[in-house]
Amino acid sequence: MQPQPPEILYEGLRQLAVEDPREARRVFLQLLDSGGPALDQFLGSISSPADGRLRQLVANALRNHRDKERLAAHLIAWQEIETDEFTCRAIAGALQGLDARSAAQTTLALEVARLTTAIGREMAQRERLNRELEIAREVQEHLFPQRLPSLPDLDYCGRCRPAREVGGDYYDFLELPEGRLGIAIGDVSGKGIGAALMMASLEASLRALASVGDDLAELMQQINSLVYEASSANRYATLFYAEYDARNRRLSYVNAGHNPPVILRKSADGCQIFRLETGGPVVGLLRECYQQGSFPLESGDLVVLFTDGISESMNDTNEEWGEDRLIEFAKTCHGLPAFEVMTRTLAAAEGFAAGAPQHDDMTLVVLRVLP
Amino acid sequence: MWLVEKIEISGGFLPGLSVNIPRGLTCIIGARGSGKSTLAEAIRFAVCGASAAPKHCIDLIQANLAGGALVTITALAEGSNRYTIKRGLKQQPVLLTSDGRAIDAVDLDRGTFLPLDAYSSPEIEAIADEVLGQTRRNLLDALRSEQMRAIHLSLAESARALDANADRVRTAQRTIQDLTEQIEELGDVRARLSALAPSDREPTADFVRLSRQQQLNQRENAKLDAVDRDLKTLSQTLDQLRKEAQLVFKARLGEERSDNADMLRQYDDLLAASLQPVEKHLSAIGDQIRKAQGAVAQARQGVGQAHTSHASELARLTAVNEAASEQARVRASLEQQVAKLQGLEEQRLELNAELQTLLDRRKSLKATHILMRDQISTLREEVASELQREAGERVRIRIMRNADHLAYQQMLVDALRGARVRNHDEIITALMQLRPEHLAQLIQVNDCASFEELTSFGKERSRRILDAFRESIDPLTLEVIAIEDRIAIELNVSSGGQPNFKDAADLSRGQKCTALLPILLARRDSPLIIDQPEDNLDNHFIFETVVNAVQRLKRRRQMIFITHNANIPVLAEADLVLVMNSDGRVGVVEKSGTVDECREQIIDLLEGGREAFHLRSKRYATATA
Repeated sequence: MQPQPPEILYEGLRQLAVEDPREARRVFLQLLDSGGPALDQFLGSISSPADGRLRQLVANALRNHRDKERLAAHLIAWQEIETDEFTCRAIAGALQGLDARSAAQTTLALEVARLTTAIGREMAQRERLNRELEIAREVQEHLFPQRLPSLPDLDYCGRCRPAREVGGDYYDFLELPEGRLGIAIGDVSGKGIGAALMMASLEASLRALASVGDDLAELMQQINSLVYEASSANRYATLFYAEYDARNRRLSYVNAGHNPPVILRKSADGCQIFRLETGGPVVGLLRECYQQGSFPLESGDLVVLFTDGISESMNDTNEEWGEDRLIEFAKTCHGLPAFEVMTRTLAAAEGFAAGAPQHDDMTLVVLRVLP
Repeated sequence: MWLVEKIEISGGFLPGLSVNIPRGLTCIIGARGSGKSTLAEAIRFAVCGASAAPKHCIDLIQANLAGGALVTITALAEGSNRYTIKRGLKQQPVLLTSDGRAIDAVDLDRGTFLPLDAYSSPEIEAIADEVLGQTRRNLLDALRSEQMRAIHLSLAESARALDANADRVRTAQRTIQDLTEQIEELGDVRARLSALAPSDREPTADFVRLSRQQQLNQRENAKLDAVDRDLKTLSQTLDQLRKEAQLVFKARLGEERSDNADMLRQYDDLLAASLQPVEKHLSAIGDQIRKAQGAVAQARQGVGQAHTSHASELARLTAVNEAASEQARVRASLEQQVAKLQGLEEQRLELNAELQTLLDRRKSLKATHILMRDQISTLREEVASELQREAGERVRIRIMRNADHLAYQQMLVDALRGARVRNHDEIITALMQLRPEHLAQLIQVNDCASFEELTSFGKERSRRILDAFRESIDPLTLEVIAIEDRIAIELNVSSGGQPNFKDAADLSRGQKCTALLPILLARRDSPLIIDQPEDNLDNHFIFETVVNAVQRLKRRRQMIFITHNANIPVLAEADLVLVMNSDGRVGVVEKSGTVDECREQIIDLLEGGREAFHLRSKRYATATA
């Protein structure tokens, strides 16, 4: 028999048990003989009243001592709740054939059956969860900008490296009127499909509102109240949103609880560091007001936006890479194209973690003002 | 949700009765024969008509509304619409809106416009007593009537498809059987032919060729016949289609007197105009069919000539053979038989392929059919768990799938008679562990090994039983035999410790009502009328099950209880108590009001009088002291 994913096997057997009971029996006996987790999962997932045919398949499969040892416990557990007459009779028939066991053994068997049923269910659950993760990842991938609007004096790019479990990182570039560029980076609390959905609504709100007004504090306030109303109480997001005006090289921004982006400016006596901190708390948690900050960029400035997945990337002794290491590293990249800075920095963060599993999404956006 | 707001009766046993009925719980109490049941049944009669109630209720109504009494019900429906229903014996009901307009289009007796649930005590007992059968199922199915109707329609359709398929399977099987017998009869002619000593003197090659050709000729004729038949069917279908098309395209959309008649007339013309091209296409198809029929006739004529010449040639050769030696004659006859055998074998091969296709198709038809029946059970489980949620823990309602299987069991019992085996009961018990579709398959493919493995009857016995079944059971019928669910309605009669659930049928009269009431209460939102059995309800369960459920659900639906148990009006806080009395000639509402206002009467009628009540309270007091 071809090894099949358990859910397909289960669906297939459901149909087969009606269409061709002999064949269904043959397939189940094969599953029984191959044993293993597929069998446990199958046994754990057929407890609905509609699955009487499948439980009967099990009850009819007790051919020898080994089968009995493996299946009797399940049969005893099902017998209590069985509502299908044929299955009831088949289970009673199968158990009757067993040796009279002591009460203690029965209890033990019952316990084992309950546990295996629980494990089977848990495994089926996990299977579903895996699919959920795939969906979440797909949602997330669609949210990242597919196209970068080109600007004459700004070299920029961004990338998100998702963790195995989908986190809630988000970044976006928005093409605005009058040669302006919107830049967003954020991190939604939680993981999985809930986080992905919140991220989607965040993106949609931002894209809808950003093109309307130019007061960023007001904008962030609106996003905050949208997210606040739309999401559950314990869900929130950090969000940094900025608009770069190419006409005067000014960066207006609001920082809602996000790790402050760093600006590196090369000067005669080394490198100056600025942090973009003006704003307010995270969005979605409280009804709050925000403040808008503004920063005049100069040619040659390097702006690094990141999520905590970068700064907190850990090695296997649980040591964090940290913002300082990030800045120190970025200093070494001065003069390089934005794409180069991004790839090198990501590589450095990963190099630090040195193979330790990635816990969180890692997102990095780099802007470079061209001379 | 709707409400019975008011009932008025003119004449009969309750002349001049006029009662406003509140939301929530109304309890009707009174001595035997005081008119309680008449009042309750009058409401049912007015709203649902005579066909909705069992005979004993209708008898009561006929006796007590005689002489032209009229029942008038005021109903408050959703959206605060008021309706008035007037109904008397032997006359059509009248349904009026609040402004006095008559509504003719609504047939109240269908029970969909103002649905009402009413149960007399014999009806409640009947539900309790009928363990198998439709009564309890109806109780659940009515709550999903739309879905159930849809499933039953699809089931009927798939049953028809299964029947048609079974007919074709049987025909194919019979023909294969016939062919096999003919092949059997011919025996091993090939071996006999090759055993003949070779001889050069016999001009056999032509003879063999012609003998075979004759078989082929026969099959050619059969095929021509089949094509003729199919063309004829096709032509009849076409005629039918033509007639239907005429009906459709000549249809008139407009209503004669309608203002829109003119506007719609142009669409009528458009439709009518489509008829001509449609007919043109249809007659073109007819032409093609006739052409094909002509071609078949020509083909028949063409091969007919060839067939005749083959036949005369064969006859000539046969005559030659007859005249020849003995051995040549034998050889000729054997050659002819071999040719026939070959023809039969080919035919059987074709039929077997057809049978296989039919059986494959049947598999999915059967699966769809059976899974559709499973859906009914699943729907019932849904309803049951909804009812269970409301009914509380004392009462348990479960769908026992496939437990109403008497027809199946009887089929096995009958079939076993011919099996010459002992201990039929024991065998039936073991066989009832097999689902009909599984057993049918074992019978169909004659799988004795699996049969033995599943039943542990032993080889010899399994063979005998399976043979008897193959003789007398049609697997095509067996595999889709209808087996129904049993609705288990059970009451936990244990007063603590291990629960002990007993089916309603096995309970005392009072307990039966106790088990059923929570379920009847929870069924839906329409007004509910319950005429409790005169029997003392088991007080032990009353509080836990009935009173609790009434208290909880009376906010959701209006309830009218005829009761003999003081706990219900008192503990469930009746919104209205109606005390009925009678002088034997007519009945009246002697007093109506709240529980407090009717305290005297409740004590008198339901607690066995003041003295008994005091005595009991004293005993309780000393017991609890």
